Amino acid sequence: MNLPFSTRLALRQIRYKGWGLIGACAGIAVAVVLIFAQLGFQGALVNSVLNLCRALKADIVLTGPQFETIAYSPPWFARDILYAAREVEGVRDALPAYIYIAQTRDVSDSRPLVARFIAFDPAYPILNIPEIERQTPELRLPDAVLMDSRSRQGFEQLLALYQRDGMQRVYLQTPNADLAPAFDVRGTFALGPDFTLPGTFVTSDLNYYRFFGVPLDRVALGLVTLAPGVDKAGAVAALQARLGEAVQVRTLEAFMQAERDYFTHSTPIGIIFMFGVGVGVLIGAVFVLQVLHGIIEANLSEYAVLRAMGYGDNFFLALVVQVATVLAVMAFLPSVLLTMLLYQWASTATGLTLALNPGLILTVFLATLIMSIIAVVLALRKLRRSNPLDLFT
Amino acid sequence: MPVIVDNLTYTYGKGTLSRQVLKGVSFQANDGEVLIITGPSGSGKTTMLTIIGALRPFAQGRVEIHGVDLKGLDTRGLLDIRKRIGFVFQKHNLLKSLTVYENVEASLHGLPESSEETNRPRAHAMLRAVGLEGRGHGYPDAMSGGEQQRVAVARALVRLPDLIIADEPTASLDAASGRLVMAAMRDLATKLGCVVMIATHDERVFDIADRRLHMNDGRLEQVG
Repeated sequence: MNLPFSTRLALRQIRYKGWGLIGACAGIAVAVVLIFAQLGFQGALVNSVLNLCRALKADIVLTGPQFETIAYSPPWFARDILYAAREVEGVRDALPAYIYIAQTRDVSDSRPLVARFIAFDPAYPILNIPEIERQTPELRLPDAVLMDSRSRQGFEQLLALYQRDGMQRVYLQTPNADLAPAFDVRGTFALGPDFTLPGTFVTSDLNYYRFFGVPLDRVALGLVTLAPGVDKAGAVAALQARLGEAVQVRTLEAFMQAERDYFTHSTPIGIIFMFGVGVGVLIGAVFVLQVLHGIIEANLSEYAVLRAMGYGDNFFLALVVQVATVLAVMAFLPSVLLTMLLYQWASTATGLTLALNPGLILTVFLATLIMSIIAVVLALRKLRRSNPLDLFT
Repeated sequence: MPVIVDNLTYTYGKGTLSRQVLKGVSFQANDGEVLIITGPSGSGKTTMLTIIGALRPFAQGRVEIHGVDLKGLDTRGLLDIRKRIGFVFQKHNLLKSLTVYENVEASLHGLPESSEETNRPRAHAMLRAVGLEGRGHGYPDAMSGGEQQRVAVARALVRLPDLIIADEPTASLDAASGRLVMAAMRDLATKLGCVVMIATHDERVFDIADRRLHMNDGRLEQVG
């Protein structure tokens, strides 16, 4: 194969580095894995919050004007607004969902465990989870709850006891332990934890009122379903016009995107992870630069001869770009394998879903190329030191 | 005339710190002619060779290589003219990661007539001409200093240049190797009809020159 001379020279100079290259590639690979870890965990964390959103039976979601995220106790709005929503043309139904964050007492040592309670009228399930729909008769029982079988961090014990012995009584954490309300775990479903809350319970609206004393006319989410064939954007506009400023009206997709944006841009989490990605890019750039500097330093006189022979700046730019790119690719492939192992371990340890999807691989590859570009820009300064005039005695 | 240098004047620095190192140098060289340039350190010979080699822009005087006036050429123009010049330095400066053959071939890339089909036989023919037939697939590190310098000569000549500029090409070689290198350069220059300018202090090789020019304080004195 007739490769351009700059490509052949780049490959030869990399090969000439021999075993010395392994350390540099390992450094670059660590930086790439760091970027994968940052983006992977960020994606997993945001994705974990969206688990609940994905399960909602809704085309359009209504929330209070101050609503920011579903992850914490959302501010409520009046249930009457849902009745008004049902009158808008194209709306098939508008159901209330109640959400409350509460502390429960650990079954083994009574320490507090934070959990989210989601409540609804069992006659109208609001979650697209077949196990919940199947168990709505249990939900009608007083004090009954269903437990997320993927709950973590303290809830494993409760789950194990339930699976072994059946129904389990759990107490809510209150200042006066003797007066603490209790609930009964009577079944399970699989949703998955999010990074803000380790456990989730589902119960009926009446039990919710019994546990927390929150009136049922205070709604956290309004879940609107549309009649078949109704345009979502048109329905959002009609609902907003009908309901005014009392609620935010968004399609489910827009609602989920807002959740993503909230955790990516409006919380320190997004900034911290982006900072981590930046550190990874810089560390990788330093390792690539180290190799480039080594090659350039060892060949300054040889490059000066090539310059004397008429090789211009473009040739040398192509040369260092190709060296940097080949290094990046050499380090990237093992990094992907290492990341697969890391994700597998982290998924098992945290219960979060870390997915090595093509989009993420492409994003990290672009970040790897950016680290190479940074290294190339810095290396060009050194390359300018190759001056044919210095070859004369 | 292949190489014309006329009233070449060059000054480093400006104002009170300026120093004139070339003071109206003029000479001409014919095809196939070998010129040896001598002179003490600081006499201006390196400055003159770098100007003639299109490595240093200049403002006063005239330098022509095969009819191309070097004065006023931009970077692109200087690069193009350098493709018609071969350089040999005191150190061979061969790329260690490339084979001997590839080092010679590197001189051909980017030339208008360069092609994969013609480069290979040209490079091998030139290695044969400098007495290194069959050594093309080895690496420079496996060669002696004299052999490496002969590869550098092959690299300079394979592009069939109009002009060869050599700076102390035998300084780091023993007498026998030095003569081999110079003889190779002399023979090929004659065959190819190119001008050869060699700056050297090595008296052992003066006899291969057609003419010897001596530089002294920025001025040229023809010795013989």
